[in-house]
Amino acid sequence: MPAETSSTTDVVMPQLGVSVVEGTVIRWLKQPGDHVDADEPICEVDTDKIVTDIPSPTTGTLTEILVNQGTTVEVGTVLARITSGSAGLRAGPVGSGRAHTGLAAGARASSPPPARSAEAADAGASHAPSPSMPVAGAYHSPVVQRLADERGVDLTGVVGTGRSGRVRKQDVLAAARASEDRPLHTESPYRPDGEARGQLSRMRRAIGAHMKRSLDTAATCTTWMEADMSRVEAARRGAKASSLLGVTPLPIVARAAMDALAEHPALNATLEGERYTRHDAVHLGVAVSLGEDGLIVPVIRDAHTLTVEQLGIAIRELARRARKQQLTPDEVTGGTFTVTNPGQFGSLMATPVINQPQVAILDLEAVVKRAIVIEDDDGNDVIEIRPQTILGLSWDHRALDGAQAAQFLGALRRRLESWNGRS
Amino acid sequence: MAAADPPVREPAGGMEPPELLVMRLGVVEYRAALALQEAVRERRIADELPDLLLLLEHPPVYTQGRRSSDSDLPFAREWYAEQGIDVVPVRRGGQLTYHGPGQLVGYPIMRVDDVVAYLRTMEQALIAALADEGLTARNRPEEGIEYTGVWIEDRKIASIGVHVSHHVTTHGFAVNVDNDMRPFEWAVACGLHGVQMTSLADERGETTLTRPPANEPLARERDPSPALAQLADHVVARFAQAFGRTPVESAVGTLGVPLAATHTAS
Repeated sequence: MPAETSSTTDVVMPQLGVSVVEGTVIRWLKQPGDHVDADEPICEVDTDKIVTDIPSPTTGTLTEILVNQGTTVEVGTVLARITSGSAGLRAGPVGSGRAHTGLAAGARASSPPPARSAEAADAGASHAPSPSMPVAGAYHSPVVQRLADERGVDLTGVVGTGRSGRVRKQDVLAAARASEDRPLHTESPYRPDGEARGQLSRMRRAIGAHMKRSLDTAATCTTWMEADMSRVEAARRGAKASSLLGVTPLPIVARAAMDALAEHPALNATLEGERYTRHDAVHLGVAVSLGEDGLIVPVIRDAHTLTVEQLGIAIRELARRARKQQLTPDEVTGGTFTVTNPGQFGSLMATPVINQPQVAILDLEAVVKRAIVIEDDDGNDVIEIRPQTILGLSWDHRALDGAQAAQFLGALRRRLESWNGRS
Repeated sequence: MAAADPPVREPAGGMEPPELLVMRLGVVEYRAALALQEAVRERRIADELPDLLLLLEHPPVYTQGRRSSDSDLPFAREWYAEQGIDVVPVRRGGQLTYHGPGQLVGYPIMRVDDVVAYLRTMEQALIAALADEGLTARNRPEEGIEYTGVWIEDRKIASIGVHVSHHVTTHGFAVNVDNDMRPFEWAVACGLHGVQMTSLADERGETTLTRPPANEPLARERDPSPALAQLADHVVARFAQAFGRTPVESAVGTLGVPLAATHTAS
């Protein structure tokens, strides 16, 4: 490298561990125009378990910041550029090209590529391993040679990270792993603009784990039944004035479900391992959407003792408190049966996932006007416009059979279709 | 990871393994401990102190790292306060965690070059210390950075998170010994469990003896746990061994750093 030339050095996001593919810049400690000394921290980056500062690879002036605070970028992304004015200022580690010094910077941030060990670290700053082009006909140690033969790795294609680009054991292992792991197709690196990226929130992961576990555990089946909601809709219209009922038929359906459960108690139960427990009281879980944050299922204790109005108030109150994060743990545990209401968003049929360790979940769908065929008082088939809905029930075939599920839904439908203020 | 490859820079010269100051601080408020760590780190960066390992317990506290969101604590803040649990935002990576009495917390303040090797060595030291207690634990380096920590089968017994500045570490590890485990459940939404946490007491089936009744708020005061003191001994020995050090027990007074300030950092 000609010492007189002023040069620009890239600072890159280092690799912090084998599977770490990205990091977040959490704070810039230097600003454009600031003088930085070699090894002086210029910013902090965060992976899930490690926060580390990134030392400047060289002495010079921070000329450009390319990644804003709070932004998550892939390993190897250029974070900033440092311009060194003259040879006298250069005190950084070796590296004649931008990529090389950049990578060396990453390495100096105590963050070697996966396979590096103390051996490379011992080499010190002046020997910071810059991956170099594969060296044809280079000398390989017997260990490396044997390993390459065993793993079927062609050493001429392997980039060495040892001194002077020497291929080390780890490089061979990495190359072998890379050839095994190579996917059949490579996903395009292009992403639509503005796509939000990042790790799933803890709540999303928790919901995901819970749902997967339910599907892995239960023999989930879903049974559907259509119901004529004319009486229920009429009751809601009549009740609007007193505003005791919410905007959805959920409280009425919940009340009717309480009575249908009394008829079919096998569904108000929990199954833990091989232990099946029927419950006398219905502690009714009600799925509440928290928007993008996720979902929570607060529980109404002794729901079977409540009137429609009380159920309506309880559901509204729990949903409000859930959205304001005001629930206590006791209010989200101990449910014996759950109801979910995607119909409030217009859904026609969703297959709910059973809330473990319960054995059934009732799904209330949208009420829509349909032209249906009914029998009039004179026994003639006529076409009528009726508000119809689909009642869904996911149930665990380990605990129940389809007949019980269908009978429960039949009882629920009967109660809804003959609704007159109570079921 | 072979313990024979300590990723820590060793001072030049000397036949003896370099020393590791070990300080057992008892129960220290999280914020006070954080201020202490930062003060010690400054002196370590300036080479005024050798590498240290601080061992302590915290009163009940949730610490929110940069990646934790409000929904990680789904219940009313007042309710957590009623349980005697503080909530502290921290400038570190990772998600929300819980610390409480009965959990052995270790803050190594060490000069390191290779932070990943450092994490792995720390995991190996904890695995060895748990083996001394008769437990078979493992780490999961192949499964991704989010699996950092020490596990018994698929249950997590020790959490790890570090901050490196000027090549000097702060934060560290937390091993559940006989602490109340319920706060871990209260920190995950909907009573769902992303990762199952465990403790020495849970693994030994001693939980009912050591946990307060479910309807009682967490006791801030509790007797020092003999199980925790015993594990601390193993951790000191194994940690020093893994990093090739000679442990030297010392009192915090020798640091010249006050431990009194409770709210220095906020």
